[in-house]
Amino acid sequence: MQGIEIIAMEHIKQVIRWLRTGEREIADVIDMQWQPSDLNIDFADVAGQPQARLAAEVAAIGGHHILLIGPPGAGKTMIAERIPTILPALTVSQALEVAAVHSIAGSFATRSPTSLVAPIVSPHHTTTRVAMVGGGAHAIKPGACSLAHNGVLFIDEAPECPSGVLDSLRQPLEAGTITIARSIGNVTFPAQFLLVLAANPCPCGKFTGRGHNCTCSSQQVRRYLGRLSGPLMDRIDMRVHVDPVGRVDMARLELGESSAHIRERVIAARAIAQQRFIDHPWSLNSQIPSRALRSVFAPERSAMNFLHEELDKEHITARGLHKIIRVSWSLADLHGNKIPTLADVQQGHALRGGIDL
Amino acid sequence: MNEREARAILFAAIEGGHGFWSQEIFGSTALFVLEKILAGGYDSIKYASLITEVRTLTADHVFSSIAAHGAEFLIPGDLQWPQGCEELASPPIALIAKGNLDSLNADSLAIVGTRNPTNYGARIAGDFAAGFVDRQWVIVSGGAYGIDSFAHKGALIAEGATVAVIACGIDVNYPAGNIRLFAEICESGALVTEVMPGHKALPHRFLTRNRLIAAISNATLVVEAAFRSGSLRTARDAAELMRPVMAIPGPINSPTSEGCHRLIGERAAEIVTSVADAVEFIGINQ
Repeated sequence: MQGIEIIAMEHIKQVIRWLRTGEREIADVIDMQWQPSDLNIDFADVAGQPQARLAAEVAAIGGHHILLIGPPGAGKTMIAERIPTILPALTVSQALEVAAVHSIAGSFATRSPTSLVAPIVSPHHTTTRVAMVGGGAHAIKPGACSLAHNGVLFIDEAPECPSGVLDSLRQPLEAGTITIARSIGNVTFPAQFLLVLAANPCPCGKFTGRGHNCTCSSQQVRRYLGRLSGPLMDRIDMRVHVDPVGRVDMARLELGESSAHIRERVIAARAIAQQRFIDHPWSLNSQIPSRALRSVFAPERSAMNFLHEELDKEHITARGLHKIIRVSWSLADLHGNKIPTLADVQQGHALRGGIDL
Repeated sequence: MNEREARAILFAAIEGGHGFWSQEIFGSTALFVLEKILAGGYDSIKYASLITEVRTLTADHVFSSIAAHGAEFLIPGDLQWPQGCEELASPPIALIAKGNLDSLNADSLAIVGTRNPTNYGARIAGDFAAGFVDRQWVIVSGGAYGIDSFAHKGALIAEGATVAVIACGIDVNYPAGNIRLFAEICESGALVTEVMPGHKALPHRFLTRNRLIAAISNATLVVEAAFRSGSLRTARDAAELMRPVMAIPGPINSPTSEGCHRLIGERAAEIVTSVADAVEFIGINQ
């Protein structure tokens, strides 16, 4: 499939002429390339938010799923929408998979079939299960999670989703594919995506700062994020609080770091990981199996001691421990450390949200 | 009928934290008040429902329903009765407790706070509980999720005793997710309540329960509390009892630290930043 040449023609007459004579009027050969001009959005637009920026970068490096918690207007959506701009270009075969899925769904209006930019799909929280995972009575169509294949699936206001909708993502998160069974047959679509969830801190969204304007009871606050808990939250590697934009961040004239800069670091870090996993069937840090995390891919001794201490204090669970190590591998790749150091692990621990509540 | 039986009947008939009845009983004896009720010594219209309830209740029934859940009935004068309770404006008529009842009269620190702590608060609650347990103190808190649970867990991990004062019947296990925690607490510490078995955790019971947390313990520590929080009530109750009140500061832009900052700002609580700080402050002010 390498070196595929796509020739665009405006009219069927031109095709016939080209086939007959080999001549063509418009020599418009489209090369499949990563075209940043596809995107008018850039990480430079995000004011402040160092923690959330780091989390997004780490997510891009290791393919770690992430939950952003913060009040409306803090920039959760901005950050999520910009993750594709820091992801490496898709390989041609990945791009073709994406194009194939989008072609079935008929969604080329929003995405060029030749783009190598990772897709982002953001279904609204009122979406149905069928729209999320795919389905349909007459023709089985791929859902949002397949359209986000090789890209980002962003769900804003995730706690507002009917629980069944979010839970339907468990199979694709586990297997990277989704199989839909209908009377007319079974269809399997690819669905390997980076999950980004965003949530307000409480139903009214104002439980932030001094919290004086929040009208929610403490039970409502507790239950709100509780709607996300369970098996789905087990698959989230990082939980980051996004603070409202402060006075200084707002007044700052210079822009934040641009996507291009961050993307260079992501590509470099992914290259290191790929080199490391050359003899293994996986390629991303988030895919390291648990048993390997305790042997071949364990962090340095002092870091492991730190994690075991946290485990003893019941601040983290065994599953949480594994997730922290995976994230710390991405941080080590970012910082150029051969294996995760104590600092990497502590940073991973902080990005995980500290305690497994 | 003896004083214990009279207390049992009045305890079952009167909701906890009732100022008037509490003072009547502690002003004389339960036996005297009970007989006065039965003899029509109080307003028969205002207290009609109480009078009929007192008439139908029997002490044996109260005792057996408590014993059925492996709990004990405590009244003032009992060896294990928490002395601190009697300093309250409206002391409990009696208490129901389960577990190691000796923990009720040990030196103890109440750790209270929000149901929705941040990681910071959860960690601090656990660390302070463990720190005080290391100094042979008992921890006292409620039974809710959040700071309450983290304080109990911290104490248990440090192999200490911890007391949960709950707002529902001893058999109700509210919230249900803490059922295992409650069982663990009973192994070394105790579960205490002021309501009869089977009673639900109604909102007003949390407020009356808060005063017991303040009264059973020697000092109160507020770890994280929002602007409007029941923990602030516990802190105020403790201050009324002239017990040391402390609060842990947090980031000024964290809604769950706003209540602590309010207490500190109003000079209603001492700011503490380490276990050693807290121990010293309690030592001076006790």
